[in-house]
Amino acid sequence: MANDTVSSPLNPKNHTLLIVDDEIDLREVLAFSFQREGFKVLEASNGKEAFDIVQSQKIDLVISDINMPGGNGVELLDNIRGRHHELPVVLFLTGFADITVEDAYNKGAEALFAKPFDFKIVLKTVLQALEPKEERWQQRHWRGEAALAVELKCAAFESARIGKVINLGRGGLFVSMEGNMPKVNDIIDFKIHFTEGAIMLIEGLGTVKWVRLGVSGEFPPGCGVEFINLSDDARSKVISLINFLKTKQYIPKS
Amino acid sequence: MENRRILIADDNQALHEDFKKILTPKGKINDAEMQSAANALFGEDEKSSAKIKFDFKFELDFALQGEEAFNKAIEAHKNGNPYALIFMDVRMPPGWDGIVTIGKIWEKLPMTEIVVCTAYSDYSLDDVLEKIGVSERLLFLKKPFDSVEVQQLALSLTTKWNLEQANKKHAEELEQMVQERTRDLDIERARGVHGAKLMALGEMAGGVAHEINNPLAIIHTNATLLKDLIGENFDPTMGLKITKKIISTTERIAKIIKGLRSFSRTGDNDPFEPISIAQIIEETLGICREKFKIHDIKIHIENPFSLTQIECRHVQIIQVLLNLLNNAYDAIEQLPERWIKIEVKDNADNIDISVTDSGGGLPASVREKIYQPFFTTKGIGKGTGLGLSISKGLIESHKGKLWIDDKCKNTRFVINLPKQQIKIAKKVG
Repeated sequence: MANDTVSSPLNPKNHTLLIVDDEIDLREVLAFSFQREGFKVLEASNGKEAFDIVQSQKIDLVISDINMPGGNGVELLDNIRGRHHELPVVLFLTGFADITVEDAYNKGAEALFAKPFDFKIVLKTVLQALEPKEERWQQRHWRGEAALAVELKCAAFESARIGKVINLGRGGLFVSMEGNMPKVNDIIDFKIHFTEGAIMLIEGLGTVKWVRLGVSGEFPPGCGVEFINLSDDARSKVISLINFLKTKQYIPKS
Repeated sequence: MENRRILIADDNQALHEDFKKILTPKGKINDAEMQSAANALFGEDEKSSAKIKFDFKFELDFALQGEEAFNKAIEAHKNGNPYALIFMDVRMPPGWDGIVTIGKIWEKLPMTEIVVCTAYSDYSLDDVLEKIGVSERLLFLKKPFDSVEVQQLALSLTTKWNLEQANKKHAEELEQMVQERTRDLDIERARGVHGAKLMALGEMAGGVAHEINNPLAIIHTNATLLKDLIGENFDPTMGLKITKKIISTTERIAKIIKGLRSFSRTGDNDPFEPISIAQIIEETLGICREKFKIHDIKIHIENPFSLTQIECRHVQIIQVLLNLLNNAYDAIEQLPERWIKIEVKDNADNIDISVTDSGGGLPASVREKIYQPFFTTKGIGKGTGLGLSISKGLIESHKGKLWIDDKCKNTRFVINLPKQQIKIAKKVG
C-alpha cells in the first residue's frame, strides 16, 4: 500500500453535493456538469434553504455562493460548522472579495473559488475533498521543487499553539514566520519537531494559501499552508490529533 | 512714492511763474513785469512765502489753454505720471473755458483734484456746480490768492489724491483676492464633483464585479461543458440549449457595460435624445442591482415597462437616478424594513419618476439643506454632500425639477422632466 502511487478512485455515485447560488443559470449548469460526473446533486437558492436541506438529508459537500439574498454563504458555513466540525465539506464560490481567503479557511471552508472559475479545477478539488485524509495525504505522485524549506523545533504542540508559533487545522497549518516569506501558491517543505507530547513530528509538503507579512492585530506574521501530503511517520499521528482537536478551522489564522 | 504733480492751467503766463515761486523752493520770479503782475495778484506783502521752509517737491506743469490742459492731463496719465491736482483758471480765451475743460478732464480722469481759480464771476458758483455736478474733488479759490492758502491747498489735495489712489488700489487688490478665492472655490467644487463621482464609481466597482463575474461564471461553465460534450456523441438539442444560454448571458454582460458607460463621462455635451423610461431604469439597475440584492433590499418598480419616451441626456438622468438610489440605500441599509419603490407617472407633456424608500422621511432641518453643496448627514468618507446638489443641477439643465415630497410618510424624491426639450433658436448677430 505504501508504494501505491494513486489511491483507489472515489466513486461519485456515493456522494451527494448541494449547490447553493441565487443565480439559477449557474446552479443549473453546475448541477448538470456534476451529474455528468456521476454525483447526486441537490440545489438551493440561498443559505437558509441550503441549511434546511443539510439538516434533513445527508449531504457530503456544499458548493456555495457567498452573497445571496435570504441567507448568505458565510452564515451557512457558520451554521454547518456549528452542527459538525467537519461535515459536510464546504467550498465557496465568490463574486468579488466577499471574504478573505484567510477568513474563509479559518471559518472552516476548504476552498474558495473566484468567479469565473474553471469547472475542472472545482471538480478536482471536490474529488480531493471527499477523499479520506489517510489516502489524500499519502500522495506520492507530486513532483516539483519546494520553494522553501521550513524546519522548526518546538516544545509541546499545545504550548506552540498557545504561543501562536504554529497551529493545526483540519486541512493544514498556520506557521508563524518572519523574514524570508514565501508567496501565495508556493510549495513549502515543512518539518516541525516537538520535544514533548504525543506528537513528535509534522512533516510533509504543502501549498501556501495566504501570507501575512506583518503583525495584524492579535495575529503574528506567518502563512497558511494546506497539506499536499504528510510523511508516513507523521500522517496517522496528525490525523489522530486533528480528530482529537475537533477543530472547525481548515487552516487557522494563528 | 507720493505723486505731487500739479498742472497749472491759466492763459496768463505771469501767473505760471507765481505758482512756480510759491510751490517750488527754487522758484524765482525773474521778470520784473511778472513780478508786478504777481504783486498785483498776491499783493506786495505776500512775499512771506520764503519765511517758512516749504518743500514738498511739487512738480509743476503748465498750460495756457483749456484744450492744452486736457491734452496734457491725458498724455500724463498715459505715461503713468498723472497729475494729482490741477489749478484751473475759468476764463482762457479763445478756447475752452475752465468749466468746459474740467468736464472734459473728469470724463476721462474722474479722480483728478481740481481747484477753480476765479477772478471775477464769469460763472456763479451755482452755475459751475450745475454744469459739472457737485463733487468733493472741486474747490474754489478766489483771486487774489494768498500764497499759504495755495501751498496748503496743493499739499492737502495732492495728499488726498494719493490717499484715494492707495485706497483704490487696496480695494482692487481685495477684489482680486476675492476673485482668486472664488476661482479656487470653483476649482475645489469641480474637484469635489469629480471626487463624488469617483466615490460613486468605487462603490459601484464591487457591485459591478459581482454583476459581471456571475454571468462570466455561467458562460465559462457552459463553455467547458460544451467542450466536453463535443468530444462525445452528444444530443445537438443539448448543444443548442447551452449555446443559447451562453449568448443570452453575454448580452447580460453587455447591458451592464452599457450602464457603466454612464459613469465614464459627464454627458454635458451629449445631444438631447429620446429614450424610454424603461431603458433608463434598466440601465441604472444594471449597475446597482447586486448591491441591493445582497443587502436584501427589494426594489419595486411600478409601471416597469413604461415605453414613454423623454428627450434627455440619458447619461445624466441615469446618474441622478443612481444617486437617489444610493442615497436610499445609505438611509435604509440598517433598518429592519428595507424596500425602495420606483414609480413612473405620465402627465401628458411631462413625466414624474419618483424614488421612495422605507425610511421615515427627512427632518425639516435636513430637508432645508439637502441641496446645498457639501451638506451631508453621512459619516466621514461616506458622502461628499454633492450628490443632491449636482443632481438638482442636472435635472434643472433639462428644464425639470427635483424635489422631496414632504407629504409622503416615507422618504420620497420626485424627478419631473418635460418629455420634450424646447428648442431655443440661436441668437443672430
